[in-house]
Amino acid sequence: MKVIETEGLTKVYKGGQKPAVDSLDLQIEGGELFGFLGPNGAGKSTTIRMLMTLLRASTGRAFVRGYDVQIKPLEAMQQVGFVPENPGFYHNLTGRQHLNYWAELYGLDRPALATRIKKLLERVGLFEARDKLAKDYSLGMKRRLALAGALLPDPQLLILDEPSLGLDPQGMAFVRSLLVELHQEGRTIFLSSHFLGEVERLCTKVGLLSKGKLIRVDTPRAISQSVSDASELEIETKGVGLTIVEILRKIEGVSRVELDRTLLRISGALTEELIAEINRVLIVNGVSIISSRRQEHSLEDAFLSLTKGEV
Amino acid sequence: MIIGVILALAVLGGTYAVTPGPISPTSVPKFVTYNLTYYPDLNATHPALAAFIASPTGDHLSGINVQLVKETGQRFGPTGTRFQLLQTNGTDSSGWVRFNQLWTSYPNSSLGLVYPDLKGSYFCCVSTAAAISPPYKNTGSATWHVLSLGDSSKETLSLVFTDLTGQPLSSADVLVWRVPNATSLPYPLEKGSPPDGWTLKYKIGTTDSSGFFINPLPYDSWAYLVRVRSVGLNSTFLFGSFDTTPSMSGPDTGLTFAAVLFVPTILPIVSLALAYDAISREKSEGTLDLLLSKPVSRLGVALGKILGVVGSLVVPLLIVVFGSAALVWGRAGTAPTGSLVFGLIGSAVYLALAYSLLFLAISSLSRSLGSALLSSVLFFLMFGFFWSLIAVLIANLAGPSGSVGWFQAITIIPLFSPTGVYQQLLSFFISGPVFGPNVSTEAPLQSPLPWIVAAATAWIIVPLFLFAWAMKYRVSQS
Repeated sequence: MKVIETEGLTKVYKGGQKPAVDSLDLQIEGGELFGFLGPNGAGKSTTIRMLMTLLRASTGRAFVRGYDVQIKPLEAMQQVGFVPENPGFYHNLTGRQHLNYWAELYGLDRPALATRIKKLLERVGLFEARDKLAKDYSLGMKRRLALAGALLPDPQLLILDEPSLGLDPQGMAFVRSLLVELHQEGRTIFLSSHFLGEVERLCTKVGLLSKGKLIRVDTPRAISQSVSDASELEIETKGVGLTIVEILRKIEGVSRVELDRTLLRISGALTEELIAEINRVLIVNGVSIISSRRQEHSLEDAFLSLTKGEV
Repeated sequence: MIIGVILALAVLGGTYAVTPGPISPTSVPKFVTYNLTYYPDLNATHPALAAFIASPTGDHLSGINVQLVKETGQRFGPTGTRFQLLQTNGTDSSGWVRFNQLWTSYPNSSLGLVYPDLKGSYFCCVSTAAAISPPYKNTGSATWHVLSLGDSSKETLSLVFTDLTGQPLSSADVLVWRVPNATSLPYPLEKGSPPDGWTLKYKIGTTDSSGFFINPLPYDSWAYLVRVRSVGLNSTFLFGSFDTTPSMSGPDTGLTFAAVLFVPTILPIVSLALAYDAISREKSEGTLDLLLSKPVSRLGVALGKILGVVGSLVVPLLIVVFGSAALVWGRAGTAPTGSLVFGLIGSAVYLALAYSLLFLAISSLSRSLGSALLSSVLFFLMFGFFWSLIAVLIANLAGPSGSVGWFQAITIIPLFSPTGVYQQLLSFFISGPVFGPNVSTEAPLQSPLPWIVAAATAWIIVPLFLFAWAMKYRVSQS
């Protein structure tokens, strides 16, 4: 079953020239840890707000757990845990009181609630601070309190907007390991981020969003690899000439060869076999290789390349 | 919380301060007797009107100011009675005041006497010469006097009859008829027979040596027809409370001040403090996103906010009203009228609800906490203070004071403010003007009932609809 699905989801803000989210067709299968990747202003939060019934779509539809969020918002929001980018807290309630309040909104059973809240507080590392006012928490603690709240109904779907934004490295690591744990328990997790590294390491699938449009959805590896087709090999040589450049250009798989004094820049589908062939051709033609370096391409390059550098 | 307690104490203290204390027996005979004497023979040697003022024990009172006024407006119509001052004179050493205005100068008018010095009794303010108008003739005068000053149950009807020189008519036969709830007077009366429907209720009596006929007739909504027969005199007089309402007295005084002055000022302030940030604070502090992303209906959240705000208002309101009622009871020595207490509660709950819904609607429609506060304060100042001034301004443009246009404007324009609706609702429970120590007030003028009902409904429905609409389609939706 598709846990999240959107059909032509579009949001044009009042007074906005271009849509913030433009005809988004998104399908997220159960069990995925989906990274929704894009620069600031790409439309990630707008999409999440539309999914969470916090924003009305201009056109198009969004389904959460199979329910249209506009038509059946209560059903859609059952068993969905949500952590907004900047969770807000009531200035007069402690961490534990917030969890009690939210539990009532979910209509959770009273008897088992106290133990459940205790376990959640322990899980997010807030048990010590449970009776402090939530407004005095650090940002990381606030995020974790919101996460504990999101976990109250034991949801099969978690939606997190920039879960590691603004956290210190320790906090990021904590959140990351918690998310991996939650994913391993079989939950579907949908998180937005503009940290490429995080998404690359964490997610099973990535959706690239730019200027409100979904550019690509794939595994992080496939996306990285797809751009390594256009990756580069830099070879510092001795005794290289223009004839060599012509010879290299004829090798199958090489798309581009540039010579900058003694530095050769070769682009193409640089598989290991191809690199070996290039080395062989150079040596056969009497060119000495002083050093050879392959530019490692990552999701970041993929992202830059796919968004054509318009970040 | 602390502010709420301070405000509640302020209301209680203010209510206590304006409640008259109990009437001690020694303080009773101030004066509240007046009579109206008229000289219909019109032979120019007599003044057209004279009045005789005495204490309830018959002592003539000198130096009392009396104003001769002409009534304008319809007495039972929408405009009520208004007075045009014709002349002011004081009573002489024998308690008489005379006006040299000829009765015939005002052929189609009702003339009345107003006693500005006799505040403390409503009767000082209205009497009607036209009620005893020509063509019949007599040489007597009639007086009813009232011993109220704080306790309407002690009001009695007493009559004093004099001849034209002010000499008491002693040993005159007196017959009294009465009719309940009289709203108009029968004419003519010269035959002296009681009209249909008038019941001979009180036996014939005779005036005493000082001309007084004192009978503890309850002076309420009855009208009295009194005939006096003496040597050479056989005249019929009409008295009635048909054109007057007894003053609200004792404990009701303080409670009415609380209802008219304090409640419409303080209740909207408290409801503003409770409601302006109900949605806007959740919006600005980010708690709203977590709330609305839970499986809760938006209209349910709206209803919860309404119940929360109104509930936090109504509970202290009930404490303050019942506390005030107990306080005025203790101070005045008698219990306040039940209908006033519950009428005040009902009107005040309405006021709390209307303002809470208004401020909740503003809170949900505002972009920020600051703009919610600013708009709420502006609306409060507008409806709570300036609207009544605007009503007066427009009324004066609509026509001269007392005209139909003026009256319509002065009664209908306030309905465009929740405070105005509250005051007109309250008028159903205030039976007359109120005089407290150094302060006085009266029941606000009312519009026709359908207008009040329509306005009262609109002030609930419109903000309720706006609030619900904003919660469903505006808050975290655009």
